[in-house]
Amino acid sequence: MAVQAALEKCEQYEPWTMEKMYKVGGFLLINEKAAKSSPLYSDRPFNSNEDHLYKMERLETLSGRQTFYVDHELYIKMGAATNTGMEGIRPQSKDYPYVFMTPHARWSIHSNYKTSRTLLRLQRGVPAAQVNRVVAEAKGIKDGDTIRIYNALGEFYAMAKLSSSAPADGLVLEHGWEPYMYLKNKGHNEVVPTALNLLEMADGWGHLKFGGLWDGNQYAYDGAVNYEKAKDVQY
Amino acid sequence: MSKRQLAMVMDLNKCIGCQTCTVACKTQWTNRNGREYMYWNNVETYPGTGYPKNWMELGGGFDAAGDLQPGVIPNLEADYGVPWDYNYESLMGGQADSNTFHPHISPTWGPNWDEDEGAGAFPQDNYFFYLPRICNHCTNPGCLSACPRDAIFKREEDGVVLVDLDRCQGYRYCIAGCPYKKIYFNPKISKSEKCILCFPRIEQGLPPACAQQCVGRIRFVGFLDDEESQVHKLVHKYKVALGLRSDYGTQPNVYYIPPTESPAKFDAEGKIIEGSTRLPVGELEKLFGPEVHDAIKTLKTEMKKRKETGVSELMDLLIAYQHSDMFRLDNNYYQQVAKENKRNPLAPVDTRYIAGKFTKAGGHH
Ligand code: SF4
Ligand code: SF4
Repeated sequence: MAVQAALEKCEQYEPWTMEKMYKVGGFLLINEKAAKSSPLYSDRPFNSNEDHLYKMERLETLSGRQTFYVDHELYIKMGAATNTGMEGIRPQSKDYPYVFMTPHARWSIHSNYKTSRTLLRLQRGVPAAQVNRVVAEAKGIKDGDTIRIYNALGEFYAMAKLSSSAPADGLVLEHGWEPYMYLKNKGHNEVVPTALNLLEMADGWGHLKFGGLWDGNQYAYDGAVNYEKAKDVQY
Repeated sequence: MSKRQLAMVMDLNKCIGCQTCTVACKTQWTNRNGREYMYWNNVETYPGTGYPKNWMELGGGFDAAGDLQPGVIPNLEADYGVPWDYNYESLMGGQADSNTFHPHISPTWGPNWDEDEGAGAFPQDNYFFYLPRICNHCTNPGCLSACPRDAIFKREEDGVVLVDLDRCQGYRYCIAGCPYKKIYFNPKISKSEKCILCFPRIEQGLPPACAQQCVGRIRFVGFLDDEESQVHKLVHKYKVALGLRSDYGTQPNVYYIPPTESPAKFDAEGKIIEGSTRLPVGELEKLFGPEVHDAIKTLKTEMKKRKETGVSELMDLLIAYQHSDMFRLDNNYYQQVAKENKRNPLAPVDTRYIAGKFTKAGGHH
């Protein structure tokens, strides 16, 4: 039904119908309208931003250009008029002294391909977090142990990787794992507050009024957690 | 020793550990029929335990007198890791009970188990690099020497080392004899199998799948005696590409440009320690021998020269502006070999791999 609705509503899917999709084996080809910022060629790869580079079209920003300076009152008040490195907003708490970092994964685009057996066999096969070797050892955690990662919001489980490249005050878990891949169906977002970035509220709401690629900004790395060796569960 | 020798050079400064090579090899050759646990190509993080676990300490190869050394056959569960599978069907039902999707066994080891773990302390001097490994198609193969059935052979025309599956009886001496643990036992057919350097591709003038697919453009392939080949220039002319653990005495034909570009260390205040490098040169010496010092010197000198004058054949080679410039193969050569040996030039030149070198017509099937 969802597919049916999409076929009816999206001009990018024209002229495909359910019957036509069945006939070719269950897929459709998007048409040239399906691309943004560059034409979609039938015979060569898509390269973004051709419209802006060659046709001098405006970007969908307030200035029409790449914007590195916003002199809105709220931006100035928060010291964010231009790109500025800042302390995370996570609570500075002795109970949860580790910053929870979820960098992009090596092979998946978000959760895409996350369940590929071929790729899962090339890592630990289950969600794994890099923890600082020295800190983990002090906590009695060995490489391969299941750890419980928790804060006041919730908890989830991951396999520990004792690593030299994890900071002592942090914990690194590739993003993109689906909740159903975790023990007890608890995904890593259980411990992430996902606070709305205040800059979103400038001039009402919507990162200065819902421009072309608006996507509700949050704060990066706002999760403070603690971790321990899991007691009665194991991956 | 074969008449000619194919070689591969891998530039470790450029490997990003993406495992595209591993997947290229896996999906082409080893995702089925008892080969599931084998990784003819694997990429491990160094320092680390590697794959199979602690392979550098499992013996094999030769001592200085040229005598084959005893070796250990790794264990599937403990050293290679059982290739786990998943309950994909559970994803169809929409049930949200605990840990819906999980491996059928608790994973204990795999081909990339210690990915990115490395050594040192963050952020002062932590470091690691990626070490991609395939069979070295050695000039003096430990696997071949160890086989009591003469079932492993080295091709005259290009030095590719293959197992004659008809002769192999699955004794597994070869696994003990290979110091790189790059030959594997297939429990389904009770025979040993290994990297074949994609010979059906090579014979058509195409590079092996791992090299063709390499995202980092780190892999050069060609004949060592071809003075125009990239591998000849890197190995013999500039001497910047070195064998891995040549001290094992098998004369490996996969060569590595040592990783020279490691960042500086930080002091206790987080300031850069000028002139320092995170990657201990002693580690590189252990992997690539004492020649590594000269190789590093040449690489640094050429890099500087390139920066100052804009000219350096070596740097141009290593940058590899065109992917096709990384390979010098020749299907005409193989056609020639086929003609000389009165083999059918249209079929793969080597039919011994499938038919068996010693198979007599109407034999034991
Ligand atoms: S790397 Fe091992 S399997 Fe390959 S040729 Fe050398 S000894 Fe044989
Ligand atoms: S494909 Fe190339 S860059 Fe990627 S891991 Fe393999 S050798 Fe390294």
